[in-house]
Amino acid sequence: MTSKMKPKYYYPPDKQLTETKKPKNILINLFLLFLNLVILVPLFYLVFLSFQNLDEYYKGLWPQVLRFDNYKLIVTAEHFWRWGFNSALIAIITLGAVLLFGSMAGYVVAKFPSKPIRFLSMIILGAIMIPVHMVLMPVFIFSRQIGIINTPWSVIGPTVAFGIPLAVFIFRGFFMNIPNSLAEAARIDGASELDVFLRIMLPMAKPAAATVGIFTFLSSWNAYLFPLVMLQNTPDYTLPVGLATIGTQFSTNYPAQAAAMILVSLPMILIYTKFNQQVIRGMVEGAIKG
Amino acid sequence: MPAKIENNWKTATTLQRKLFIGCFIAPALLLIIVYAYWPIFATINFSLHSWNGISKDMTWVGFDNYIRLFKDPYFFSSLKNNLLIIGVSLLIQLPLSFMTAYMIYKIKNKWGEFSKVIYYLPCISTMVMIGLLWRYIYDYQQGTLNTILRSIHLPGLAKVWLTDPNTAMGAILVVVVWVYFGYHCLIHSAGLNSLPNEIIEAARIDGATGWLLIGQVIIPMMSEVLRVSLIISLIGSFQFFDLIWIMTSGGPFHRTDVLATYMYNRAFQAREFGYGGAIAVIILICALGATLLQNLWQRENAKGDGIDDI
Repeated sequence: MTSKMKPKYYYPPDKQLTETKKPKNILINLFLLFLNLVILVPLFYLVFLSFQNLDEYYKGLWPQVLRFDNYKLIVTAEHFWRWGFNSALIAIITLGAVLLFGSMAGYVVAKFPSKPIRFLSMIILGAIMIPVHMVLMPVFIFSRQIGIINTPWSVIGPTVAFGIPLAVFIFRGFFMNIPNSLAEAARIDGASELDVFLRIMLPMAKPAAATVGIFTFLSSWNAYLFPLVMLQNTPDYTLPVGLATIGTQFSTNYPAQAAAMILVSLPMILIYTKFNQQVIRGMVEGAIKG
Repeated sequence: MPAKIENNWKTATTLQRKLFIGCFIAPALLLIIVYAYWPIFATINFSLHSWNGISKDMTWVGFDNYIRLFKDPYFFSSLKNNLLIIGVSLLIQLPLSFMTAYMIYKIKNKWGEFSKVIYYLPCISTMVMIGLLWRYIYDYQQGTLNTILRSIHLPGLAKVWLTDPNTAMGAILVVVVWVYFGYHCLIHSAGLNSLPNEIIEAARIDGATGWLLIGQVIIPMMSEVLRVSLIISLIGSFQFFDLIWIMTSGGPFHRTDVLATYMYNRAFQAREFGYGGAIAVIILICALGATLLQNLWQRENAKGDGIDDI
């Protein structure tokens, strides 16, 4: 939903209506507040837990001081930074590949419509319907055969492939709204097709790229299934997979585990506070295509 | 003469253009064929064999895996759990999120917009974190839920929520609604915001207010968006994995398994790639069934708003 889809005007302020609505609005606000609490309280509980020491945890006490011991424990834990590096590497390469291949295919599908292209675009967009579990076993076997199992590439491949359909869909929608006249003018001036794409179309597609990019980065950073299947040596794990096994490393130390979870989620929470509108737009567009 | 020159120039560009188009669409197409379409046939092939995923010899067993599937009580309990998730989304999540989205639409203020951002928060966190968090909340000794029950003098109600076969699935369903409520709320909200104001205003002037407005004007106009939300619940249910795998791994005794976790359990833990493949095929059939349902439905009320099928 782009900004142009917002209502052009709001209801004219009708004094009578607003006055009779007031008690109702308070109820609505309270209800929304209640739901906010339902969502936020468990998340804050995690923050609270991460500052407890074990003694306070077992007695169920509030943390007496703001102590970062649990965080220190995690950042000095074996493999933690390695996992972070793996996660970041996978997320960044996935992001680059999805943006590049998605924008290229989206551009062709939007601007060069012909029968074969329409057929190919149907193949690409139809992949949205394929459940990832269906492909899990063959992709695992295939990655083992070509010897990329236990490397980031074994995760990047399927993650990019399953990110592309949505990217193509969003880019296609965006490029279709860009008028052809600019490209035609450039072509008459002797610009090659590649020039038209790189110099004229791509710079204009920044909003679509932002939506696709943030959404792809988020889902790749949070992904669990493919890393779980593909990466089997502890140092190769990504953060979510490592997080799931951290219980064995800190088996009884729940506060330390909570600190680990906060650290893993922190980058995403920060991105979300800054770019929540793009995240939401990407999700909604993906959903409507669904 | 000039015409001929122009013609030459044109054929050159069409060739160049064709090459350009091919090069641009090829990477995306190749990746999707390798990672999405080809594996479908490979999985179907697995499902007709008995194989542990490692050894060289795959034994052809025909439809034995499927016959075994229909005698397997755990398969049916997994399927039932999938249907349970669909039921809960349909009966609790969907009305709740539509109602909330409508309230936000109605009050139209910053607070409503802020609430939407907060409601979506669980969806942007990794499900590993969400699952572990709820495992703490449901923990027997130190879990928040039991602590609260004990502090209000109801220690008898304290349970090992996730390992008690009677409560495990219910406990998971609560988390499912908690996580995905915001997601559906956003979809409905986007739908409501794109409704043409003129029509609602006209209905209002004609005296449609309150429930009449919602029931007779808004819900019919929203049918497309509600359909999308419903289909997402359907398809999403068959892809459900992370949360359950983290919280219970399908236990106790496969009580909380859904199709995806049961497939993972069979294929990658019991090393039965053939049997796992058969479950994967069932997942595909269910997902495609949901998609087919969507298309039929869409064709039925073809007045849909701008959501074309290409």
